[in-house]
Order: sequence, then structure tokens, then C-alpha cells
Amino acid sequence: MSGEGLSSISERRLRPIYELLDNGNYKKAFHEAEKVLKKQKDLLAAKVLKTIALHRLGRVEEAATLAAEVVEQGPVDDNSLQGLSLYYKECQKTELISPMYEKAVQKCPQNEEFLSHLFMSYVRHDKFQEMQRVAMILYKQIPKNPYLFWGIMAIVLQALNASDKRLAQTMYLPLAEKMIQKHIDNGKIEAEAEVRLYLLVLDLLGKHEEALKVVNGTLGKKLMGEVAGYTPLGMRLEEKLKRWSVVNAKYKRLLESKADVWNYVLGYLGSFFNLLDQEDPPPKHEDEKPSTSTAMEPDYKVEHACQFVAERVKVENDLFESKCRGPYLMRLELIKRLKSRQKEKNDIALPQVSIKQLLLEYALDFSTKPCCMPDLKPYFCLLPEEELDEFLEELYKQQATFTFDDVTKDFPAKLKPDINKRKQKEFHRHIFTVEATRFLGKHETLTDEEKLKLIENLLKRYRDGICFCDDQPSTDTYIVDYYCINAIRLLIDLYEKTDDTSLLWRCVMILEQALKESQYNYEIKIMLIRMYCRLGVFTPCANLYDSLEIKHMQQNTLGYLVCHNVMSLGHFQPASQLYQIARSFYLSNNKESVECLIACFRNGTFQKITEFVDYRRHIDCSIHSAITKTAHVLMDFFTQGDIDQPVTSLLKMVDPVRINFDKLVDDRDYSVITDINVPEKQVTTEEVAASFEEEKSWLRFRELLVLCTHAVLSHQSAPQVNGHTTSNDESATSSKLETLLDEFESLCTSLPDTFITYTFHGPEATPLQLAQEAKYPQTMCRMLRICNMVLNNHDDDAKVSTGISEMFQTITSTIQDLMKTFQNSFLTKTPSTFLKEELRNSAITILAEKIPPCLLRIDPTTVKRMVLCTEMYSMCVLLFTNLQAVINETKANIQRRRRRKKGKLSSDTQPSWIRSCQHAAEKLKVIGEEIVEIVNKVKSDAESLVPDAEKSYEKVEEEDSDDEDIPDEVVQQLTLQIVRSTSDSILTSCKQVTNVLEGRLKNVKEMKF
Amino acid sequence: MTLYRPFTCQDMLRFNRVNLDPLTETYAIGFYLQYLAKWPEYFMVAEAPTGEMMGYIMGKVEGRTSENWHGHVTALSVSGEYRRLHLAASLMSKLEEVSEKKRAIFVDLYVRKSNQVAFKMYKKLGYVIYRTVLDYYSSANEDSNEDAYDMRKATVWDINKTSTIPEKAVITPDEIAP
Repeated sequence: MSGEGLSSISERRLRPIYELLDNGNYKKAFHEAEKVLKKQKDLLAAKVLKTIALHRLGRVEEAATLAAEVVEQGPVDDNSLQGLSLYYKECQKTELISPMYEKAVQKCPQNEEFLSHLFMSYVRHDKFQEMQRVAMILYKQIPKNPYLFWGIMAIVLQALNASDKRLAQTMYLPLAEKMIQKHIDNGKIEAEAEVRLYLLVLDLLGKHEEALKVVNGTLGKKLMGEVAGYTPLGMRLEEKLKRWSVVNAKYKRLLESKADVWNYVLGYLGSFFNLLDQEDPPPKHEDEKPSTSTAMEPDYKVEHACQFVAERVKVENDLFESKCRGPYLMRLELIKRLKSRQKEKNDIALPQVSIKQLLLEYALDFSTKPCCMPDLKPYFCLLPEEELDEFLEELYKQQATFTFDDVTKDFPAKLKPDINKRKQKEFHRHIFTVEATRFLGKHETLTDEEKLKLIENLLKRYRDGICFCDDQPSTDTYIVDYYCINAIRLLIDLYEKTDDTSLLWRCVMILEQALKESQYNYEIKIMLIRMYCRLGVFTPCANLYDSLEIKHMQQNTLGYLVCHNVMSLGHFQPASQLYQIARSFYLSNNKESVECLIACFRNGTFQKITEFVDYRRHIDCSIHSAITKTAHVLMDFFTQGDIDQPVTSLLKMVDPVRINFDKLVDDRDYSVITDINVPEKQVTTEEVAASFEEEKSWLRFRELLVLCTHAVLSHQSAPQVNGHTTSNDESATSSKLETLLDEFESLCTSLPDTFITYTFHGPEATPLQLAQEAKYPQTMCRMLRICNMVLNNHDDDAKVSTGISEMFQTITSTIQDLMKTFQNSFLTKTPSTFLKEELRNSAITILAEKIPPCLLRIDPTTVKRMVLCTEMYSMCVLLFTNLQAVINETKANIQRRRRRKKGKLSSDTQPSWIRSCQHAAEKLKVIGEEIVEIVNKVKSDAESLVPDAEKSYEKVEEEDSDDEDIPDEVVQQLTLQIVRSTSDSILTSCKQVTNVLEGRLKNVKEMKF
Repeated sequence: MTLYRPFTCQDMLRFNRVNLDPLTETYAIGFYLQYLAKWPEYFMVAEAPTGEMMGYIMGKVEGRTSENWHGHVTALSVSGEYRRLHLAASLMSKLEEVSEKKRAIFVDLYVRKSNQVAFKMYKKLGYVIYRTVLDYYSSANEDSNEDAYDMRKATVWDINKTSTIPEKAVITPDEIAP
């Protein structure tokens, strides 16, 4: 018996519904399905289509019921089964696909299609044993090679995932090997995929000898994915077999023909150093004898390798044009490795070479290309300390011969392309010298004045050079941009030393100007985002981030650029969008990666399967996923809960599955900004690791805050029977709250309170530092304790009442303390005079361009404090107002008792804890109004920014109208634009926090005691 | 100096410096994974000695008939720092090598008309304009849609090089045979 198809009539009736569903017309699809069902009320395929329509119309529960009803009847037609699979994928219940096909296979045990769908449904859920079983059934019935190899792959997966590694080596893998061996013996191997799986099994078993035979034998001819330039498969096996002399000789041969392939260099050097370890000459292996007279001899002595490399360099040197970097870098790499070996073992004589000379030669040949700096970075460390100054001096001399100062701006138009080309090369060379100087630590030793002069010089070169880049496509990065970027690096040095925000504003102005010319330079954009965030301004970041078109995977690696600041600077709407987009990325990643895993089986790309499985697990554990999810829920709690929408509707957003902190991975990519700082000042892995720990602490705090809040809020929304929560539910939620609260309190006491300062372009400090300063964690602990007391012990009136009073005293004073830190307007900073004084006596003009004084007075932390204060206040109110139900209940009880005691003198008065709550509410009201007032002050200050800046320009024009210092029109416009977006950013923050605060005030005022 | 190797899933975590280029598209995960699952030999990375990604090429082999069986370049991009080293040409030749092994008749690709740098490079590598596809690159703003050159190069299997002679010089996107 096989699966039944639909009759042609049914097919014809259903076709339009499929189309409607495809076109997004779900309502019509639903009605059409209903119509068909009126004619054929048992047509399961129609019911399935109705299910999909219902689901897509948001009638989720009806869809689920209908789907269950269909499955109950055990459909065996392809339309129903495929439709249900689609539905389960859409509602993320793919675990229900297997039982459905299991039933279908039971009814039609011979159906190839169903069996293969069943197999794939197991793939989705890592059910390797079941996969093996089904694949073998398939192969037995339909002896096609792929089915057998599905089964074998399932065995390999069991081996790889076995908790007992011995079992893998003694049972699973030998079984897989035997099955393939038998297949080969029967002459049935067909495809490359099958050979590759065989090699995978042999590799896992460590049988490299056998694998090598396969590669070199007839089966090896099927391997087509090998490409010139890759490390040849056979060589990799020979490396595993440690046949160093063979490997070395073969790599020599490869390098002779292709000297620019790093794979070969690594292979050559790797085998050479292994040979160096052995006694010489290396013993010859039986089958390693050179087969022809031209075969290479392996290199096993230092002088051999030096000679071989020198020959490669000579060949390249003899070329006039398009020299490859390969031989030169191979030479440097050889020296580097020899040196480190000498240091470690002291068993070789180092060749006599001048590193200085080698580096200079490299610069001479390659500094006209952008790769010169990244190429040499790993080798600068070879330069002896005493040769450093000489090297730079000679480098400058060398590069000076390439300048074309004779080129004026007025030259015949037809010469323009040629001149541009020459100039751009000159810029490349010069920028290389600047960057090498910095990398070698020579910027560190400059005085502040020298630094400023150098910055001025670089900026002047930028302004003079930009006209030579006008023939480049706008999508290219202009080489002169790197003059600005290097100036910025120096300004950051000064900023890190002085903490003077005017230097950051200067950076912003320089970068914004450069961006006007070179609108696609991503480094400039990312630098700007980092600067603005430090200055407490978000609006421009949103646009910059958009223009970088960061999407899909890039959210995971680059989302960190904005994910904290967008919320802590109070831009809740864009924050919500960003978190939502990140959420859908992680969801769709999960879905798509599993479907592609299935594609691997269908296409026989077995070598990719373990890679895909690992990848899925990796992304699932990404910290950015956990951060955005948690931040989103928390933000919705404090910005929306009972303000825009009832808090009960937010409760289901909380993921009850706890974050597994041990498994989290950090994918944040800091390599997007070129780092040419001295090695000590570069972004280090230790720094990134420390930041990861800080992120985890901050995340732990928020995760528990969300969960505790959720527990308090669901206490009230638990199903009530006759106005009372059922006792079981109540005790369950209260013990849950108790446990969470204990955990939260112990976490809060263990949160770090000292923080490291990160490299400017490295990781960013989390908001935890400010939260700690503001005592946010302690405040939330107290607030949650109050809630717990009221919810669980309101019978012990005196205790609860004093508890509430005391705790509220602390909470309100904490919030007030935080308020004090930003209540005196945010334009409080005394502008630093650092730059002004430094500039007074020097001939610096570009750096002296006017920054409107109002910007310099901005305290960058004000907005963050204001937002945090709002968050803290809002969370307290949200939790507090939720006690209303308990208050009501208590009051109702008193009423009832009073009524019962009618006639007698009533001693039942309102318990004092309710009065304490009433006082607390009064206090919250007062504080809330105070915060609103301060926010209004910030707002009016922000409104004053643009008029202030305009005025400051007018003044300049009036006072010294013939002074050279007047910024030109373009700079002025740009500066005003910066002021405008700054003002706009702060106003947006004010508006959003005001909304929250007013909503909360309303909530407090509505409380009844 | 370049290390060549197959692209892996993990490379998606490291391709930012290549993909932040404005002419390089970052696709949905499924798109990359599908290529890795179906044509892993067509997806190659070039890596610098420091381990940094220099660039990558992504392609496939397809065609309904044996006369149409061809390699296709879906994406080719080199990070700004590693340009002018003929890296794109070297990646292209690897893709052509794979295509010839797969007995493809020709290799084709689409390039923006305005992307003169890329267009000239492909021409230098022996690709010819097979036809123009109108508005192939759509943008949010319809006015800035852009035409593509559909460029081709015959492989050794197309002895008479007939695969590079078009039926129609200009077509619309819906005329592209699937």
C-alpha cells in the first residue's frame, strides 16, 4: 500500500487555496477552504489548508485544535502531510512532524517519500539513532546509495555525540567503516560524497594510512572539490602521518610554481621545523624514494631553508612588475620562526640578516598598496630596539623620494588621471610611514604640542589631498581618509589622557566632514557611532547604523555597537525595533539552519553536516541573542507595562527557559576598526574576555530582575476562583518568587563593583557600572522584598508595616540621590581649556575651528542618569501598584468581618501596612513629579542648544570679521547640523522618559487605599 | 600571500570587513548555508597570513540541459585592504577550475553597469557581455534600479564558444531562464 494521492477533483478545488496562501490572502483562503469543506467535509487536505490560513490570520489556538484533529485521523496523502509540516515549521513545533510521519509510515510502510520525510524530521531534532533505523529501512526497500550513506552518516553522528568516546572508537566508527568497506568491495561506490564520508570515518578512526591509499587510488579520482591553492588532501594526510621529508619536498615543488600561496608556505615551514627536530639526514621511508631524478630533496638544516627561501626571493626580484608578496613574507616568517626557536631551544645558528633592511625593502616594493601595513604588522617585532629609530629615519628618507610636491593644482586636465594615480600612491606610502611610526610606539613619546602639530599636519594633508581622489568611485574608500583616521587616533590618545570632551567633539567634526566626501567609509561611520555614544548622543548613531546596512549575521557580530546605548540613552522606540529585528534573526537562523542541514543529506555533502550542527549550537548560545531578548522584555516592562498596554499582555513574552551562562559565546567583532596602536594598547583577547564577563554579570542581573518581576506580576494575574487565588497556585508562585528572590539577592551582592577601562575602540563598558553607582540592584532587591512581604505575610501586620516604611525610606532616598546627580541641568560641564591653551601659541588653524561652546558644556552622562532614574522609578511603581489587588482583598475581608460583627463594636480597622503603603504611594508621587520637573529642565536646556550655537557664530562674525579663524560656511553648516542632532537626540530621550514617568504617575495616583 | 580554503559557517562571523563594502550584499543565513550545503566546492575564502579574511567567492553550478550546464558567480568580494593584489582574479580562476572539472560549458556572472572596476576586471579575465538585463538590481527607490551586464566566458568544453553568443542582447529580469 502506498500513500494516496488526491483525486483530480480535489486537487482542482484546492489549487486556488494554495495560490491565495502564497499571495498572502489568508482571509479568502480561509473562506475558500470552508467552501471546499462544505462539499467534501472529510477532505483532510482542505482542513490542513484551513489550519494554515487560521494560523496566519493569528487564530493560533483554533489552528492548533484543527491540526490536532487532522493528525488524529492519520493522513496519508502528500498534500495533507506536507501542509501540516509547513504549519508545524511556521509555529515552531517541528517536533510534531515525526509522530505524524511515523503514523503515515505505519499505514504505508513501503512509501519511499514518507520514509524520507520521517528521516528528515529526525534530522531536525538530532535523533541520530532513529535516523539510522529509518535510513536502513529505506535502503533495504529501495537500494539507492544515498540512503545507505544517510544511515552511515547517522552512525557517524552517534559516534561524534556519544558521551562515551570509547564506544565511538570501538563500536560506531568501526561499524561505519565496515559498511562502507563492504560497499566498496561490491563495487558499488558512485559519488564523491561517498568517498568523502569514507575519508571522514577513516580520519575519525585515525587510519591515515588507509585514507592516503584511498586518495591515491581509484576512488581518489572521484574527488573533484580539490582546488589549486588548497592544501592538497593527500598532503594533509601525509602531514598527519608525520612524513615530513616527503611533505617538505612536495611543498618545495609547489612553492616553485606558486610562491604566493600561504598554505604551501605553512606546509613547507611546518615540515621543515619538524625535520629540524629529527636527527639528520632524515631517514628515508620505503615508498618515499624520489621517483624521478628531478624530485626535490627535503630541507632539514637551517641553511637549506634559508637558501630555498632566498632562491624564491631572487626569482621574484627578477620580475619587473607585479611582484608577489609571497617570497618576501615567507622570508620574514622563516626568520620569525627561527628566532623564536632559538629563544626556546637555543640549538641553531641564526642567519645573519638585517631585519631593518628586509622591512625597508618590503616597504619600497609594497607601500603603495594598502596591504603593506597589515602584512608587516606581525614582523615589526623582529626589529631590534636599537634599530628602530634608524629604520624609521631611513623609511622617511626612502619615502620622501616619492613625493610629488611639484604638482600644483593647476595642471592640464588630460594629465589628471595620471597625476591622481601618482598622488594616491604617494599618499599610500606616506600613510604607511605614519602608521608604522605609530605602531612602533613613536607617537607615544610625542609631547602634547607635538601631537597637536602632527594632527594639524595630517588634517592639512587630508584637505590638500582630497582633490586627487575625485576620480575614484564613491563606493571606494579614499586613501586620504586615512589621514583623518590617523589624526583621530592621536586625538583619542589626548582624550584618554585628559578626558576632555572637546577633543571628542573635534573628532566628530573631523569625521563628519570626511564622511561628506567619502560617504561609504565604514570605519568612519563606526568610529562616529562610538564617539557619539560616548558623548551621550544617539540620534546620529541610528542613521549611521542604518547606513552601514548591518543585517542578518552582522547583527550578531556588530549589533553590540548600539545595543546598550540605544536603550540607556532613552531611545526606546528604535531600541524596540533593533531588539525585534535581532530576535527574528535568531529565530529564522534556527529555522533556516536546520532546513539546510536537511539539504546536506539530500545533496550528500556529508562533510558539512557536523559543521552545520556545531554552527547551530554556537549561534543558539550567542550572548547577543540573550542580551537583546532580555533587554527587550525588561524595557517593555518599564516603558509599557500598564502604561501603553496592560502588564498581563507582556507576561507571556518572558521566556521561562533560563539562560545557560556556561555555554554563552561572544561573537562581537572588534576587528572592524583597524588597530595600529602599539601592541600594548591594542584591543586584547584578555580585554574582550573581561568585557564578556562584565556583560554576563549585567545580563544575569537583568535576567533575574525580569524573572522576579514576572513572578510578582503573575502572582496577581494567576487564575482566581471567587476572587481568591487557588491556594495551590498561590503557594507555588510564592515559593517560586521566594527562590528567585533569594537568587537575585545573592547575585546583587556578588556583582562586580570595580570596572576596567577598555581601549577606546575595544569593548564598551556595560551600563552595570552606572547601575551600581546608583544602587539599582539594591533598590530592586528591596522593592521585590516588599512585594514578597505583602504578597505572602500580610497577616503579620506590624512586621510588614515597619518593613515597608523602612525599605521605602531607603528606596526613595536612593532615587533622590541619583536625581541629584543630574538635577542641575546637563549643561554643567566647565569647558576644558586644554586645547585652548595648547593652541594659543602655535600656528594651528584647522584644530582651532570653532566648536560651539554649548556643546562643550554638555555632560555626556546626564541622559544616561536620567534614563536609569526613570527605569528604576518605573520598575518600583510597576511592582508597587501591582499590590493593589492584595490591598483590595484585605479591605474586602475587613468589610466582610465588619458586616458579620454588625451591632458589636468593631475592632477591625485597616491594618497599618496598608497605611504604610499609602505613605509610600504619596512618596512615589512626589518623587515622580520631581523627576518630571528635572526632565523638563533638561528639555529646555536641550532646546537652547541650537539658538545658542547660532548665536555663537553670529558673534564670531561680528567681532572679528576679518579674522582667519572664522570657520567657512560648509564647516559652520555641518557644525550646526551636529548641534541640531544632538539637541534632537536629547529631546527624544526627554520625551520618551516623560511618557514613562507620566504614565507611572497616573498609575500611582489611581491606587486606592 | 594568500591562504585558500573552503568557506565554513564560522566564516560568517568574520566577514565584516569584506561585507561592509557598499557593493557587497550580506544575505540571509539560509542563502549562505544553502550554497554550503549544495555547492561547497564553489565557496572559497582567501585569508591573509594573520588570519584576517581578505575576500571570498561564492558560486554554483546549474543548468537544465547539457548545453546550458554552467558555473555561476554569485558573489565575489575583496576587503579594501587587500585590493590591487589580483586576488579577485585568482579566486575567479579557482571557480573556473572547479567548473571545468564539473564539465560546465561556460561560467557566467552579473555585474552592475556602474561598477566599472569590476566590469573591466572581468573583461580582462576573458568575460564578454552576453546580454544586458534591465533593472536587474532593484532598489527601494525604483528610479535607482540598475541594469546588469550578464557576462560569460566559455570553458574548454565549449569548443566553438557558442555559449557566449546571445539570442537577445537586452532582456528583462523575468526573461532569465530559471
